[in-house]
Amino acid sequence: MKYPPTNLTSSLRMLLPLLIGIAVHTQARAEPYLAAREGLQCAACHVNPSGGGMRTEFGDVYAQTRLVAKQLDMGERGLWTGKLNDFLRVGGDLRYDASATDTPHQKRSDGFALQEFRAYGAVDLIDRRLTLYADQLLAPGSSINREAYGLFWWDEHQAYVKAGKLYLPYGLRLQDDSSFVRQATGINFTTPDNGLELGWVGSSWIGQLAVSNGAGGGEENDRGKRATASVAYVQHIWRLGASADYNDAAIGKLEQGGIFAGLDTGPITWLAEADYIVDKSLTPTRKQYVGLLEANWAFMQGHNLKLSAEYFDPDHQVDEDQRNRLSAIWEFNPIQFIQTRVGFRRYDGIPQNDLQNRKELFVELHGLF
Amino acid sequence: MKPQCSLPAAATRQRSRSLVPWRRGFATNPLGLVARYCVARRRHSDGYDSSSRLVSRPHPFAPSLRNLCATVLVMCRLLLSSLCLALGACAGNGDDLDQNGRPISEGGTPDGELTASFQSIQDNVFTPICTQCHAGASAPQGLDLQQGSSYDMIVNVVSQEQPTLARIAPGDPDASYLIQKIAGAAGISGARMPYGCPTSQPCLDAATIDVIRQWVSNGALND
Repeated sequence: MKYPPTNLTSSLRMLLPLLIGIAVHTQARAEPYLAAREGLQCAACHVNPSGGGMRTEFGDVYAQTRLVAKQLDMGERGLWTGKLNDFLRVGGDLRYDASATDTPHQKRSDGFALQEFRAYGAVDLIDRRLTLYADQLLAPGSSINREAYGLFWWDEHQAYVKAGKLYLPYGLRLQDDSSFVRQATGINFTTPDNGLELGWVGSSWIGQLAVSNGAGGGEENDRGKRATASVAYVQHIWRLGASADYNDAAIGKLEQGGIFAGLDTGPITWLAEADYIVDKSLTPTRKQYVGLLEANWAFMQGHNLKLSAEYFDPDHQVDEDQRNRLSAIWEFNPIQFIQTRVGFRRYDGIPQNDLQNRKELFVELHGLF
Repeated sequence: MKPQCSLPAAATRQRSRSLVPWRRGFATNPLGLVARYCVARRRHSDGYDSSSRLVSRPHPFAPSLRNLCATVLVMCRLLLSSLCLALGACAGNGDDLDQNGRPISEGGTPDGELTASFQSIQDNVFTPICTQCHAGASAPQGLDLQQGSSYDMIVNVVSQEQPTLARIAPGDPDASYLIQKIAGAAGISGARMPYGCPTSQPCLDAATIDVIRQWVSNGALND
């Protein structure tokens, strides 16, 4: 057993205050903490090298063995790997929520809702080299495509190119689209875009560059394009990355950049992201700061307690308009394919806006395969 | 069928030094304050057999109430203190701002009941609720619902999700896709709006939807 060298220890001691310093706040549905906890890259567990969506065989097996409190015997069939044959793999995620929302001056709302049922399919035309991939949101509502692209890996399986409809590579790919960092940057699972992505997945360095229409998933309506890039340095207990995004859209230009980080401190895994946004499409031009700090504590096999704090300054030139969001979520994987999540979120905003001061309590059933 | 869970090449290169989170010494842990509650119980196998296959691992450690409370306390303190230190991150007190967080000196958004006029819908629905996401160059589906651009984005504009419908068809609320989306009508593509309702925020109530329908029935004027 080797311990990290002393100079690394010193670096970490210096890094921690920095991470805390850049911290802002979070909410709790992210899986990037697993990558940070294990010292892995997104490509280890996801078909999409930049993360999210269908899991790889490794990801499937990891979820069935390392995440669960009790692993039920699957008998002769063995573990689920999504493989229907040598060419075709499938997978999916289903999230069903019961929730209550308490908004000031409004009647409390509560109810059940299907959050999402997403199905994934991948055709490995050439093993480990050429894949056709689709991510389809089957419900709620009628089916709608999220991702559909072709992915080609170069020989050493380090460099790739993918073309089609894809999630843009920027920051931490949090599951929660309503987290401030994903909502304010406008790059999340609801805003895939048509374009091209080049990527590099080295042993320590990861980088992606995407060029897309910049129409938020809609049809191209101008000649301007969007360029999005992300690079990260990944070590076994820490990672540090930076992202940049430029969108020359018809209604105005958007420039944003940020840094993100992960740190594994044994029982607790930390994630942080901070972004600076200049949105010239808004009137007047707005400079925004947004950030997230998240702690994930694996306090028992199959359990994870996620605490997060988020911060959003929607216009730096306007005083006293900042918002916060605090979340506490308990995630429990009792057996394979099932996760339950119980969470509480508290929003803090200006008192004039009731919606910015709501509280949420939810229970979620998450099926994954 | 036993799984052959081979790692991607890059991950394989890293695995030998990365997949051992519980094996790492807490001597290197900068958060010793947190770790000391758990250190004795966190070491166990790295979860792989000799063939590099994942195997189930034993219980990492048995928790106690003392561990639970102490660590939650430390985590909460760290999160909150770092947030406040870094950002002075208390929510704004809203001084001199309107309900949408804009300075009153800019003209502000008048407080008022929702009526079947476009400006009233903008002030009471689009700006405070929809522009949480549908704003600027990053707006989903390219739909910017900010003051000044929203009308041109919706009235007689074909929906991106369902091109057979207009987002707002003046005089015909049932054929207006925006109405269908906020009402959660059968056949819409994707989720009901506002996004996340009713889980992460309330859905628009029936009275609000009725007012918007009335505005469409009245011809969807830019009034």
